[in-house]
Amino acid sequence: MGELFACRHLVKRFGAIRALDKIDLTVQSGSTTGLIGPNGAGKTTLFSILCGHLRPTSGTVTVLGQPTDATAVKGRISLLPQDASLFKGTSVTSQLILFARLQGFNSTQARLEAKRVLDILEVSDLGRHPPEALSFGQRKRVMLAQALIGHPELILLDEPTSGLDPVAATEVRRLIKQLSRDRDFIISSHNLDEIEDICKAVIILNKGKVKANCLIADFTDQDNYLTITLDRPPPPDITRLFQDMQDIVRIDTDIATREKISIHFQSDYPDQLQIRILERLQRENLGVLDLRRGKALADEIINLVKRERSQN
Amino acid sequence: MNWYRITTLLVFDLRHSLFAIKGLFFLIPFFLFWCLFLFSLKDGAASWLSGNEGMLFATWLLDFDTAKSLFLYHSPTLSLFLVLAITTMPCFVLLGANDQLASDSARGPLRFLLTRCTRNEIFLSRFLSTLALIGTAITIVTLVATCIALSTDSNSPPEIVHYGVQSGLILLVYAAPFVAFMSIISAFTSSAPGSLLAGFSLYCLLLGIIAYYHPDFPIISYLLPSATKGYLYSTDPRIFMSAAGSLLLYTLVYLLPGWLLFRRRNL
Repeated sequence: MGELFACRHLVKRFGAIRALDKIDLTVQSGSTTGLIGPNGAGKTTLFSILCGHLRPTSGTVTVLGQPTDATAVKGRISLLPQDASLFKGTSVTSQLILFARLQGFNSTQARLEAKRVLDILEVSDLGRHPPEALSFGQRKRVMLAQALIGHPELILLDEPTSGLDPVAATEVRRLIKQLSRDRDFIISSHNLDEIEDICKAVIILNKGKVKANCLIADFTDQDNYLTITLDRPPPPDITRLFQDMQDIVRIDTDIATREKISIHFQSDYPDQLQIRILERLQRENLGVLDLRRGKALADEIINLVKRERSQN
Repeated sequence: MNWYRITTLLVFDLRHSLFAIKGLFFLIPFFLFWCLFLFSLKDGAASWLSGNEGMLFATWLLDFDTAKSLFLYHSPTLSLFLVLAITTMPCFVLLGANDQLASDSARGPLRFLLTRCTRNEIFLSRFLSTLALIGTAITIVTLVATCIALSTDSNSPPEIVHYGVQSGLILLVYAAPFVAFMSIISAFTSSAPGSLLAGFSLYCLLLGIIAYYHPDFPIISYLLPSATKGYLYSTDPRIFMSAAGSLLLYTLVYLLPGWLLFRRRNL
């Protein structure tokens, strides 16, 4: 398992604003990683530094063991930027062929590679159009296609599904899952369900600092928590409903989403406990809309940010 | 540096420029200007400069030996073209070279290139493609001027062709430092109009400084490559070669700050 990237005392300032504040971070290959945090946390800045768009104010960064501007790293990393635009007035296929050639393909191979990635994203019919003739969603898919050219080892995706229709977004998520078997993705997204769905690990940034860099399972305490979304708010005395179950430590109801309950348990047989809980809810005519192991990632992030704010 | 990537980028950028605003912004006024000018020379109007009145007029603009060399010993049509091309070169190059990097920098397509090539490769390929675009345009108008000279001037055809090739090369070498000059501006600006404005402003500022300080410090005229202009007309090969050499030196000196700026800037 190699090192995808490493930052040492990384600082990036924009005038008086510290977008990244002495970050020490190492990410190993082998698991798709989510990069999350509120607006202004420094996610896009980190991506931009990893790709060499931005120069660090101080500190060092290596990507795939190399400095970001090293020739050896070029073509082994790719990026779906959040807000960059392709060359105007030139067809999408011509641009993809250019990118493929820059990654070492000859003319014929580059043409085939451009076709391959357009086929993967199901946008082959858009290849002859210039990017400005495409809709936002179509452009997004084309830009995602460019990130797949040449089988890069590390793919950075900044908000990969924002602006896509639900069908396309689902398809993109399925594609990322499929491709992540043999390459590494780092995905920045505000869609925490998406991060939970696709990623195994998570990096949480807030105000330019790393707040967590761990497996999602560890962060949400998947061995000890169960989060259930009901079809209606539970009765106030829901704790009484499970009082005979010794494995249950505590039940919390979500203040914001009253239908959601979080069950903290300590059991050697969590699967059996889960079945018993569901049976009990069914007996009380409480429908279960969603069930997931661990605390909800979104709740944990919100709590983390709230704690940060209260400390400041 | 990977030369395959540099060549690939160069060819793409050259083709892209031909149909994009950044190329057309230079090509349309350039060819319009030269079409009108060369059309007016098609009946041999430049031959007037090799006569007494013409020489008198020419010595008002150039020193006598240079005027004699240009309009008596060489094709007057090509010489007039060469003098006017050299005089207007900074203006056209500023138009053609202002957007080497500027508009592609801020959240532009350079982001897609930077994961595939180094900044050095991008910088060099953009400089070379701009030079190639301007060079191609210069070659075309020099070719047309040579054809007109062949049909109107009394000099022998081999002499005219030789002088045409020489004029084309002089113009190409003279264009290079101005393209490099604009690479400095383009390396720190984020839009083509901004780059053009900054380029013209800096050029005018330098001209102003040269005009103001030149009487006391003649060496200050060497801030801009225009100082070598007079030597490019020289019939002495040694003077001509040293002028061409100094233009290459200007190119390298101007490229250096542009490269340093581009290496460090945020894109």
